[in-house]
Amino acid sequence: MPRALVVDDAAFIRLRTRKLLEENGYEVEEAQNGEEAIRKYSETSPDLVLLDITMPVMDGITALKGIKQIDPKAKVIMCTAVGQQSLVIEAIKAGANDYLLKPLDPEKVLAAIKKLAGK
Amino acid sequence: MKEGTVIQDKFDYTDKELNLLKTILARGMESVAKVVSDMIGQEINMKVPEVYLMSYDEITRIHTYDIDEPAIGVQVEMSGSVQGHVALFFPPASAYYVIDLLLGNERGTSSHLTDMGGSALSEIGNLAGSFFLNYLAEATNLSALPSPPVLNGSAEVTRELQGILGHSDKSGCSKAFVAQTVLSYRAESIDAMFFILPTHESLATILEVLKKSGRESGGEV
Amino acid sequence: MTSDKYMFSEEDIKLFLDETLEMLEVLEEEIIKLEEEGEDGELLQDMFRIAHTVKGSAGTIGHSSMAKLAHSMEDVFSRLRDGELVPDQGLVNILLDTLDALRDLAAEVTPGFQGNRLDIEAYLARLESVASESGESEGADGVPLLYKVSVKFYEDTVMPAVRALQVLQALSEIGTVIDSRPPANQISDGEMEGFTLHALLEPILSTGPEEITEIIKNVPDVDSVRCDLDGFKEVRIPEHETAGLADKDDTRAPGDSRRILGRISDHAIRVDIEAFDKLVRIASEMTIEQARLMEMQRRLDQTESFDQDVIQGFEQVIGQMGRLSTELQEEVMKARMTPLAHLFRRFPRMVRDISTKLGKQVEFIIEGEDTELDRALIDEVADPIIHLLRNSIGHGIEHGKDRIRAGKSETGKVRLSAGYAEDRVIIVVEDDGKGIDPVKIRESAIRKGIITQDTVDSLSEEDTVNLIFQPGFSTAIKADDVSGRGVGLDIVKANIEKLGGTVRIKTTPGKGTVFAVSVPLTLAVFRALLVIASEQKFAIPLSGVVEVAQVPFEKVRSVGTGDVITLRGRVLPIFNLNSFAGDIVARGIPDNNGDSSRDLVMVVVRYEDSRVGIIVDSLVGEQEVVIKSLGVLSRWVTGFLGATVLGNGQAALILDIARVIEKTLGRTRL
Repeated sequence: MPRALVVDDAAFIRLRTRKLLEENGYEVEEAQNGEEAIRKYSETSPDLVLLDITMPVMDGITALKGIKQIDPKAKVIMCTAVGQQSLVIEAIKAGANDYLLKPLDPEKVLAAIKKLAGK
Repeated sequence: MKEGTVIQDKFDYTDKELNLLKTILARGMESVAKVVSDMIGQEINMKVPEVYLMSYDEITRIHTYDIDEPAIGVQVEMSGSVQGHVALFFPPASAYYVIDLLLGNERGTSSHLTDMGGSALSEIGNLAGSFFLNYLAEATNLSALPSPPVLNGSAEVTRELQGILGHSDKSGCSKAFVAQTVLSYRAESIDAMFFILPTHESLATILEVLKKSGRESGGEV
Repeated sequence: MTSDKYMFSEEDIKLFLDETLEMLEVLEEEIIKLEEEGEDGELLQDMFRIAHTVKGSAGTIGHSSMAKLAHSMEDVFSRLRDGELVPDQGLVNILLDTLDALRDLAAEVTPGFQGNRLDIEAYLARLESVASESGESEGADGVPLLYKVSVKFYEDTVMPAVRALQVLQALSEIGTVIDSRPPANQISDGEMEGFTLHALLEPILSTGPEEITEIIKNVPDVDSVRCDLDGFKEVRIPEHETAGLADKDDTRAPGDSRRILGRISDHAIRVDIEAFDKLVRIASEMTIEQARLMEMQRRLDQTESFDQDVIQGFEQVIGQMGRLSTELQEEVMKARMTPLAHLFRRFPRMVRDISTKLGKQVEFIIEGEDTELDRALIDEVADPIIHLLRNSIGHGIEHGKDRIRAGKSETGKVRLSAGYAEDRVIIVVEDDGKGIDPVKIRESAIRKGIITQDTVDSLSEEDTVNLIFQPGFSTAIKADDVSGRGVGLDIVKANIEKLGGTVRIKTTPGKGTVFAVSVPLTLAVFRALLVIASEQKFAIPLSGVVEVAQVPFEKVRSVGTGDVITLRGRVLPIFNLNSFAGDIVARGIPDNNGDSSRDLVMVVVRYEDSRVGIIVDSLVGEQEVVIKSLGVLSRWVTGFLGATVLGNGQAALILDIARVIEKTLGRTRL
């Protein structure tokens, strides 16, 4: 079973995303901030990371860089709200594979995951 | 609720600019309604909100809708070209209804604020803040980013904002823009208030941009 | 023989012709350069590659004799490059003849071609006699390829710049992105308008178009990808600014034949002129629609009872429409702009041919070929410029021995230059020949009955020289093949004026002659001041309007057969638009509706250094206008560039400021 790491400071978002991914055959790990994300990644090396950008303690872009240091091949999808294009560009430059806009549209989430899995 | 008194602030703005600003806020609110709709996965109707200019004193007076239980507020800090806060207040009944909708529960399931419920409300505040800031950026070219949302009782939120913004002091900014909104879903109405509290300098910056674009475009937004 | 032999669609053939002829033009220019400047490794490498590409294209389309001839030419270039041959005049002549033969061969693929097919044996023999032995030449396979990649994202993509960035990143993993639209730095800053990315890719490894497309499609939100061979890297002409407009290529599916039909790209996107003209028309019509909307809004405004909301909605739509149409128009117009180099590169060969034929030595200098002009205008100015060049070589430049006798260098100089002057382009044809003698012009004009002895005496030197633009005048004894195919300078002038341009001449006997052609940057759309005169609306191009003034009626004075007015100490000849009657012949000052105390409304217009005041009844306002040809009417109405359709469907004539000024000055000159 493929494993996904869902990183978001909002418990509500984690809950929704977990439900969606589990329904589609993923085993889901959660992290509340960037720091926790890096730790969980090195512990579990998941197949996929859904990474929020704006988080307390450590933001998503810093976390992305940390994860890429551990595993340059990590597959990371950034989750972002509108108006954060410059952050998304920074993330893409830092090696993120894709981005999704909040509020997350289940269909788009699945399409993005599928695309990434096909790589 | 009555319209706020005429502002006595140091910077000059005319009714025209004030109206422009109100229009931007109203449009920003529309995108907020859309976000809530998207999150629930159902169409939510929103009355075109009235935008008021309100003093903090007035805000503190309306922060409770319910005598026993204060309204619930989510505050999001803006940083960048525009600084200050946006905040979203729900009267308790509306807050619980929204939480039930978001978590896919039956109406009436929530009766107090759980962690998950609070997280759901925070997310709405978060998205409302980013959509609003995005709209503001499109309208004025001023970009700002939202910080993670903070959930509190409305009284606390107000107190905190007052503390941060230093109301009625020499900065002269003791006013907030307030949009009262009535969202309705399946004939049920959800009351909410959306507060925009830019710092004194940021308000001046926004008005400056509006004046300039007003001159160029002949006042259309 | 017909083109049945060539199993390709009409579109393929058209593309083949476009590209091949363009390459041959460049090659021609380079052959001339080779003769003038001697051997140059880079230049020869270029020529070799062009010949090689032409060979490949001809082969692909099944034209074996053309491919064979191109192959022989390629061999000669290869030997030149290796220093085994010297580019003397004899060799250059052979190369130019071969080039002409290649052109004729290319024409054979035109659908419906009925002529005889060219026998290439003689050409082959000549080439082989210089190249003596032909060997397989190395090179082409090692030349890096360039791909032109166009990526369209879905139109609901929220952050297209991010997707574009991802595509550029993906491409940079398989090669070098040489350039892109929007440029990489803009994408990096999140700036991207529209949903299409164009990039020039030079793959590191032998990555084919299918593979490139596959890699791009891995990026989310990609709607479609096109990837075409763009020719060889070194053959590219330095890029110039081009609008990233959707190209006609969208209708083409990638196919092998096209890919091999590599072409020299100047990084412009090829747009079929017909498709393009359609765009221009749409943009124009949009402007008209917008004017209609505004007219409706004006009427609504007057209806008191109408809901304010409706009017506001209206205003928004109008604003939106206005922005859109202006944008579309600007883009379209920008993309229509083409460097004059496309035209100028034809001339070195022509100048060489003419001067060789006349036994004159001419150094031909081209300057300012980067100057851009509306594509339609380039076609229009071609003939007049050719005529002026022929004129300069035929009549201006003297034979070598005459030049030495006159104390000049044996070789004459002809300079063709172009540049901008405000919103116009000036093209100058200049020679250091014998100039035009006013005395001879006078004699000739009288002899030809163009002018009487009396009038001649009153003419200034400048006016005398301008007589050469009169119909029926030609300083040459007989119009011949060289100096103008029986077309006089009067036709040149008329053709240029039809475009809203002018031709000026300045000549110094013994020193040389300068012809300056001035044309507007574009045709079609411009801003105009709408005025009313004689109860009709007229449009005055805003670019020529200096100011609008109200002047007291009694300030008008008669001078010569016209009138002048003094405005802030400056004497202005005036032209009364109220007296318009077919031709623009002013009939004196208006009676001002019987009220001489009322001020006159005057629009001061300028053309070059001259100013004239145009008297009108009233002003309506500024507006974008689209020129429509007057068609058959144009023969009856002079002094107007054309007509335009206004918001209410009414037509208004557009004043030709240059012509109005010319006429007005003519009358007030003493």
